[in-house]
Amino acid sequence: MRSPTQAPTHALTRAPLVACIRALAGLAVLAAGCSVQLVPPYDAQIAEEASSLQKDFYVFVGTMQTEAATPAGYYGEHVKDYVEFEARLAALRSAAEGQPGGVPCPLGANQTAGLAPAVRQQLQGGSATCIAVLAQIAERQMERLRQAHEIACKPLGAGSLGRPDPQCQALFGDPPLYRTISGQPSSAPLVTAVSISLNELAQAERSLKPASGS
Amino acid sequence: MSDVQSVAADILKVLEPQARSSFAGLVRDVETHVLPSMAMIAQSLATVGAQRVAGTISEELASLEIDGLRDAAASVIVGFANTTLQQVQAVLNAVLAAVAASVNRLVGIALLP
Repeated sequence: MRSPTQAPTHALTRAPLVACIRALAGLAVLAAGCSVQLVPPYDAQIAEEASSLQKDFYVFVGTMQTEAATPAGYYGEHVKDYVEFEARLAALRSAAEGQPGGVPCPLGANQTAGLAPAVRQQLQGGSATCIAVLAQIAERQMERLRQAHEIACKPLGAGSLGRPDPQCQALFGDPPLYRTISGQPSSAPLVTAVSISLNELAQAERSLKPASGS
Repeated sequence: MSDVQSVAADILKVLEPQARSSFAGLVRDVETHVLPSMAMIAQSLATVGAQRVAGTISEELASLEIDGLRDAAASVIVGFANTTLQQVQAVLNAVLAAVAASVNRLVGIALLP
């Protein structure tokens, strides 16, 4: 039994071990003290905005499901909705990209083989965290829906008596809303796709919230 | 040097069971979230095919829908990667905290706070 005042018997021979353990701890890119940080810290503003966007998108789709068969559903009537969605998503992406901490989203060639080239490029060798990548995807999804809305929701040509293009109903699907955004079968594939991307973003940020009391 | 190896082996004995128990169930999200989301995407792809065959959507619209579903799949995968990173982070920190006292005793100094 060694007294507290005695030097550790193996202090010299343990020095390399100490260095080794310190180096191992240093492998965690953002080691703080002896804890590691692989994901950015929870950001309440990002979480609230992602959830708010998700809810507003559901309201928008619910409205479009009732308007798609009428002139009120034409793209020209909803340009401002997309301007607002895309501006909010751009701000969200910017906030996510500016978050301190976290490591680049760790997906390599095997995990991304079937994904769109733009996503593969972001993930392979990129420096964005997973949350930032999710925000980038959500932004692209909204632009895709805007383009689809512009193509599908317009008056048919001459002789159609101003009837809307039936593609508009195919794009937004039929009520009830829950079947489109979370159920099966989905009658509106692109709306389901955008909904999944917004949900993943909101859920990813929400999941970072520390448990109360910790 | 053999002393270093001996201490390292002792530390490993502390770390290993802690890591094994902490990492158990790490990928539970696959069953509960990833696979159901992928099923929804698969269903939606089938819907695009049906809409195209029925002629209710143009090729241009179908192309946008398919690209959107591919990005939706990417979102699910990236979301899962984020969850996994978060779980790994929690486990690593729990392991470090759980073994701190033992490691400090074995090393002979207060290495881990």
